[in-house]
This record gives sequence, C-alpha cells and structure tokens, in this order.
Amino acid sequence: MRRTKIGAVRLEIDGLSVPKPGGTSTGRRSWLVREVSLSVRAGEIVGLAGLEGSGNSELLRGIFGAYGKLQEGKVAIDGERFDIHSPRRSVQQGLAYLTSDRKGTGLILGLGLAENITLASLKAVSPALWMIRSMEWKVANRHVRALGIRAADLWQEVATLSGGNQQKVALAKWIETRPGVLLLDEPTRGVDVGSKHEIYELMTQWTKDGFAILMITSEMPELLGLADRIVVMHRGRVTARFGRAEATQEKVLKAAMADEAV
Amino acid sequence: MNETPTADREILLNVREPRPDTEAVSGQKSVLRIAFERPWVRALAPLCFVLIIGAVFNAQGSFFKWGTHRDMLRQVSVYGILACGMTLVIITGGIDLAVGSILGVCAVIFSILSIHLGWSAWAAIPLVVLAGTTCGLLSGGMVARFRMQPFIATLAVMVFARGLAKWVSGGQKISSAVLNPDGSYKYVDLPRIFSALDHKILGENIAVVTLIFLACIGLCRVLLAKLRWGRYFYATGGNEEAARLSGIPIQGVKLLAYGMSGLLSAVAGICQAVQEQQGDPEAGSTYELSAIAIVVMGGTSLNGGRGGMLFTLVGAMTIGYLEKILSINAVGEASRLMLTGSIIVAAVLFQRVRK
Repeated sequence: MRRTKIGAVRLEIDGLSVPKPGGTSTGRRSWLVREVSLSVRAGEIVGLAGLEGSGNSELLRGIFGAYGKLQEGKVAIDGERFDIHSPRRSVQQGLAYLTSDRKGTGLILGLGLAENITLASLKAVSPALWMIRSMEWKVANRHVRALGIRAADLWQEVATLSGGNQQKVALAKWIETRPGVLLLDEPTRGVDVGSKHEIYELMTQWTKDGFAILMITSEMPELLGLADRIVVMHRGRVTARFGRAEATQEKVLKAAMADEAV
Repeated sequence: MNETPTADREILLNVREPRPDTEAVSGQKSVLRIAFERPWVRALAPLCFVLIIGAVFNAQGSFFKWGTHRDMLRQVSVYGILACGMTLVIITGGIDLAVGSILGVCAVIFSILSIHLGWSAWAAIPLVVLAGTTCGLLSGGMVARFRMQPFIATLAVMVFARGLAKWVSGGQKISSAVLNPDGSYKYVDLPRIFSALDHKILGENIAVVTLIFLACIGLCRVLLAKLRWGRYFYATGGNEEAARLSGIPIQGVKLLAYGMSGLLSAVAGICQAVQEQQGDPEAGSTYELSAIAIVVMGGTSLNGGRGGMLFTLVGAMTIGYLEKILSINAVGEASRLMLTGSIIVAAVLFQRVRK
C-alpha cells in the first residue's frame, strides 16, 4: 500500500486534442485525441486506461511533442504555460516520456549502457561540448546501483541485456534528466516478474521524491494497485474518472469499452 | 554403469533456469571467434592480409622500400579525405553520393580563382571551402528538412554539382594554358600554392596531402569520439526515433554531417587540383564509390550508428595497399579492377563473421 503526500499540481492539461498526422489538407480533420483534460499532482500516479487505439498512447506522445506543435488545448507544467513544440523542448522543460516499445523507440541498442543512460542529459556530462568519460561513468554507476541493473560492465551494449534490465536503463535515462513529470507508457511490458516488482518499488520511491507520474498500463492489477486516480479513454475521449477507492476492474473495463449510450 | 546423458540434462537445466542477464556463453566459442567480435580486429585483419600478399608478391623488393609506402599514402589521401566525410554521414545512417562531384566543382573553382584570376591562396581556399560546404548543406537540408532519402537527395546534388563544374569551367580543363580570345594559348605560371601542397616534406618522406588527410582524420575523430555532437551522431544513426524522443537535434546532426562532408570534399578538391596541376571538370567521378569502399572496408556499418574514424584510416590503408601492390606487380587495369572488386566483397563478407 502506497502512502505518499500529494502536493501541488505539476501537469495540467486542458482540452488537448491531437490530430491525425498528415490528414490536415483534405476535408475534415480526424483526431487521435479529442479535448482531453486532466491534471497530475506531485507525488501522484495517475493511471491512463484504455484499450488499444483509445488514444491514450497518442495523448502521451502528443503532450511530449512527438507530433510537433499542437493547436488545440493548453498545457501547464508547475503552473506555467507550456507550449508543446518538440521532444527536445519538452525534455528541457522537465518532461520525460518512456515509450512502450523500448527496442524500437526507447533505447539505442547498439550503444552501451552508460551511453544510453546519459543520452537525454548529455549536457551534464559534456560541459563545454567536451565529453568527460569519468563523469559519464559516475552518472551511469549511480543509476546502475540505485535501480539494481545487472550488467557485466557499464559500456556493455544494451542489446545484450535482459528485458527487465533494458527497461531499467530506459527509466534511468529519464530519471537522470530530473524531470518533474514522468509520462510512462507500459513501464513493465516485456519485463520479468522480479524486475516488474522492482520497477513498482522504484515508481513508489519516485512519487515520494515529488515526481508526478502519468502512466499507461494494460495490466489491470498494476492499474488498480499503483494508480491514485484512474482516467479511462475510449476513441480519443475521456469516458470515466475514478478515485483509488471506487475503481474496480468492471467499472474500468466498462468505461474502456464505452457501451456507447450516446 | 551410469548412462546419464549429460548433454540432455544441461538442456533441461537451461530450460528451467531463468535466462542469464548477460550472454555468458563465451566458453563455447573458439578464441578466433572471440577475437573477431572485436571491431578493431575485424578492421585490421584485411589490412594484415593485404600486407602479407604484398610481402609475398614484393616486385623484386620494391614493396619493402619506404618510397612505395609513401606513394601509397599520397595516392590514397584524396580518397581518404572524402572517406572522412563519408564516415560522418554513414554513422548518422545516411550516404553521400555527391562527394566526387563536389570535389570536381571545387577543383575547378580553385583553379579558376588561383591560376586564371591570380587570387592568393588565403582568399581562394576559404571561398572554395565555403562553396563545398554549401553543396553539402544543400544535401543535408533536403535530407533533414524535407526528409528525402539520402540516396536520392545526394544523387540529385551529385548530378547538379557535376553540371555546375562543367558550366563554371565551360567544359574545359582549367590549367596554366589560358585560352586567348583569338584562339591561341598563353601560358601563365602556376601559383606557389600548387607546389607548396604537392610537395614532400620531412626529407621527402611524407607528402603534404597525406598530412592533410591525417589532419582530417584527427579532426573528425575529435568530433566523433570526444565531443557531445559525436554522441548525437551515433545516437541518430543507431535509432533515429529513439534519439529524437531523447531530445537529440537530429535535423542539426544531419545538416552538420552533410555539411562536413561537403567541406571535406572541398579540401579533397583542392588537393586533387594541386596534384593534377589543373582543374578538371570531370575530376572525382566515381570517387564517391571509392570513399564508400574505404569506409566499409574499415568496418563502419552502412546501417549507421557504428564505426569510427580510425577504422576509416585502416580502411584507407587497406584499399591503398591493395591498389599499390597490384600496380607494382604490373597487373593490367582490367584484372586490377576485377580483383579489387572481388577483394572488397571478400573482406566485407569476412568481417561479417560475428556471433
């Protein structure tokens, strides 16, 4: 049972819409995400539920700027207006986005463990543009210890690590950027049971450190067990919101399927 | 009698036990295999092979003379400079077919400026380098901004730059023989920069162009291995989407890579003009292929994200020695080309022996 002090709002989304990329020139726009509003507070884990194609992954990508600028909707981080622009700008503003496909879009498999961990925060290990290997080693070593990553050495190619350790490397990369808000898409997909548990503990620890976490998961026990609040999406829109106490598997599933009354 | 089939038991154990975190299977591999998993071993093996061939077919001992090695280094330098830029582009996951044509344009412009117009080298060289960089940035812009396939974008620049070279030169070789309006030729002196660069120094032991080549290798190595942007290069070539989502400026990376390639092509163009003592609008045709061959021979992967400048240096020496050995043994051009092609294929196949 997690018990963490919930703090101020860190991420606030108001009426955000994500259009389908490329479909703007001809006729009506179609939308991946339509007018979604939600907020995440410091120390809170908000679960974003929904079936495949509900638009929850696209919402995270949209917030992070993976689709570039978004015209409709407002986003604020720590109370300050945030203009969605590009992943690069988002990283600088304290957003972190763990993709659901760590081999395809999360890690650079041909690079080493340390190189992947420092990838999103290279400025810290290369003051004046010059890479300092010893600083990089220290950063990587700190995370390898903190997250319990098992590897032969710090320059080992991440392609040769197990799924759980790869996922921890991807998480370490984002923790090293010291983000305010973590957007996690399926943080335990393809991870063995032991590592899964360790990742839950890490997430609990991070909320204690004041991170705000917006998490997608398709595993019901994970959703019900970790999230303080649950937002359910269907066809790009929010269909239900539950507090920790009231959420049940049936309610969430029903909202995710949305036996369309409208 | 204990007939427990130990092999079977091992298989069962492997099934039951959780998969090990790292591949600790090196015990089953031969020493040779382990050695060949190291990229520098894979790069050096073809070079050693070529050197052994040279030592055997030494053309009455001429392979053992320093002059042969010096000339090899001089002859491979222009290709090597192109290969430096090519390495940068290939590591970002692209390819640059325009380097040979940019070399041609730059050789022509340099010759016109310094021979015909009598510009000093201090003015001519920066302008030529600027022209080459602009051509490179043109490719880079198309690849980065408009997301064109590198093959197509640089193919277009390759054709365009060759046309530019012919237009600027009027289709003529730009040499010290200047065509007068009445059809006769007047001869002008070659500027001093030509002899200064096409020169051997340190007691005639090394050519200036070789030093330029080595300087290019060194500079690019600093960029790739020591600077933050070098890491950006590897990340972009390794997995472009993951790099973009980690906040790496992939458009800037591509612009820089193609821009650097254009800049180095200009340097190669100046070296080529100096060696030929003229600016030939056809200079550098098919040089892009030699540059790619050098990069691949060194072991840099065409998929991007892997490789390095020192591999390219080794690759340049391998190709250089190959050509030199064939030429000192007076192998005819036809068989020389066929042999070079076959040996490149053999070397690349050989290097793929992994895992």
